[in-house]
Amino acid sequence: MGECVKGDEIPHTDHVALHCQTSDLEVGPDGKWSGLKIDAFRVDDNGISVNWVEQQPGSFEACFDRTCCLLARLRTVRPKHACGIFKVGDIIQTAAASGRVVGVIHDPVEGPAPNPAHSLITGCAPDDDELLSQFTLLVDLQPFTKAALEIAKKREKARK
Amino acid sequence: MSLLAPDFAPDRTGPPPVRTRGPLLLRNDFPEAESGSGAISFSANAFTRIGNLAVRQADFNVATYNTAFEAFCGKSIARYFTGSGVVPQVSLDETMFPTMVCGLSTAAYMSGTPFGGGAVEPAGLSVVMYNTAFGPSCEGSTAPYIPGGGMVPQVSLDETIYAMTVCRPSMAAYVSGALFSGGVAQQAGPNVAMYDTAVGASCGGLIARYIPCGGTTQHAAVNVLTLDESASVDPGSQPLNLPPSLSRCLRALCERQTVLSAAQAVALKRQLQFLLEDEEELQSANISVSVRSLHGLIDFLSEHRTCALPSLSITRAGYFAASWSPRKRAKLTIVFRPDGVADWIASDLDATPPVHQKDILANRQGELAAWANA
Repeated sequence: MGECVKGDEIPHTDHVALHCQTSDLEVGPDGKWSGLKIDAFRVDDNGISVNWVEQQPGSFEACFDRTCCLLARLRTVRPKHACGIFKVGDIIQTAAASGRVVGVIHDPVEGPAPNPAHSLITGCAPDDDELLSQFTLLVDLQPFTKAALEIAKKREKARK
Repeated sequence: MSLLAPDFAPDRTGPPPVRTRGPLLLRNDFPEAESGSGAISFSANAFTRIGNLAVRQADFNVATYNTAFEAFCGKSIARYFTGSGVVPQVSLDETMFPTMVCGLSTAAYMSGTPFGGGAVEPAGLSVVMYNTAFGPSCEGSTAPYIPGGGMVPQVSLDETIYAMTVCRPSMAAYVSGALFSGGVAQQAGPNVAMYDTAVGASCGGLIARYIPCGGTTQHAAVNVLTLDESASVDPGSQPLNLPPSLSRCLRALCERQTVLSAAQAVALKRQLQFLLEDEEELQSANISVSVRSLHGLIDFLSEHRTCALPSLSITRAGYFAASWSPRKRAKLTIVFRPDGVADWIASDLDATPPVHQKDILANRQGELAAWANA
């Protein structure tokens, strides 16, 4: 945990997070998010970009808060957005049940906007609706933490 | 969830309002003068002129408002009225112009004098009514009715205005403090008229205004965010503008919500608000929402009113998608394409082997209940 280098597989017991914008979400009859849609997974040549939650040590709550804050620094996060949490083992297992081989690897980003927790779900094709729709069923949607929303607010203010 | 035809106060003296399907689009500013309207074209000058006329006739207690329909509703519309004063000097004058879309006739009433295009019903003291006959494109006629009457200063000026189908949503009226559907009435004492409207994108967003009639003219904005909920009255505030996609879709919903159950309509409205409130995000995601797809969804819902209420999402292509999760790791999604075809995508991770179906709804109608009624 936390000692991985680029390309290392993330432990199956760990989690990855996906920033879910409003347009990535399904909303229930009560007007609150209820699930994730396939389009939430943006698949490029490298795979699906996610963030490794337990990239640094700590309780899950602390790791989750850190992940939310990191996403808020890097992306436009709004109160209605959600942080989608996936267990790495579920991703691997679900793919395997459908005869696919996917990997979840650490892929830290350096540069002006570093993201040390950046990771990739590899082995998916953009048009693999079957796999992607199955992945949507694995998500646990969580609201961004207050600390993250504060960061997002300041960031938005600075942007304007 | 009635958006129209508020129950008038007991002092109704004229015919009941006719239910129609549209609101007036109300704008703070007159539109540019319009050629070929066949009636009066509007501009700020026209407003002033009419307003002056009203003032001259009524001497005091003048309230004016003007409205402007946008393209979808046709063109412009303007009305003004004056009200209150000492009986029988009270006159309530109004001129109303239909839009190009609605085309046809309008009637105005001024101090008991019939105007072209519609009947005026004499209604005793301080009663004003007008009616208009909208054309076929507006799906029949509408007869806004404005009862008034009573002794000054008890005269109230009440109005309900229904505009065209094309603009459909709602309008609320105020009668001496009574509540009406579509908005909440401001307790404003006698001689107050209020209206609010909720219009769709083509009509330029959701706008509501408050019009006092009698006494010092005051203007306040009444913003009605949702069509079946109370309007908020915030004197001095500006009318609310909805994001275009949301506005367009809410209008589409309002146009057809009678085919839905109340629960379906309320849920769909909530969902639209959640999904479409952030226009900037939609644009950055390059999502252009398909209203035709929304109509497909509404068609589906109207045909399946007993189904569990679905979750809703919008695909990258801008199509609406309804989904049901009968179990935690199972989901059916139906995507409504604008060409009328609906895609069926079902996944169940706990089935052995895991289920993944991709088809069109037409081929799976028999299986729908198993997913959507759970």
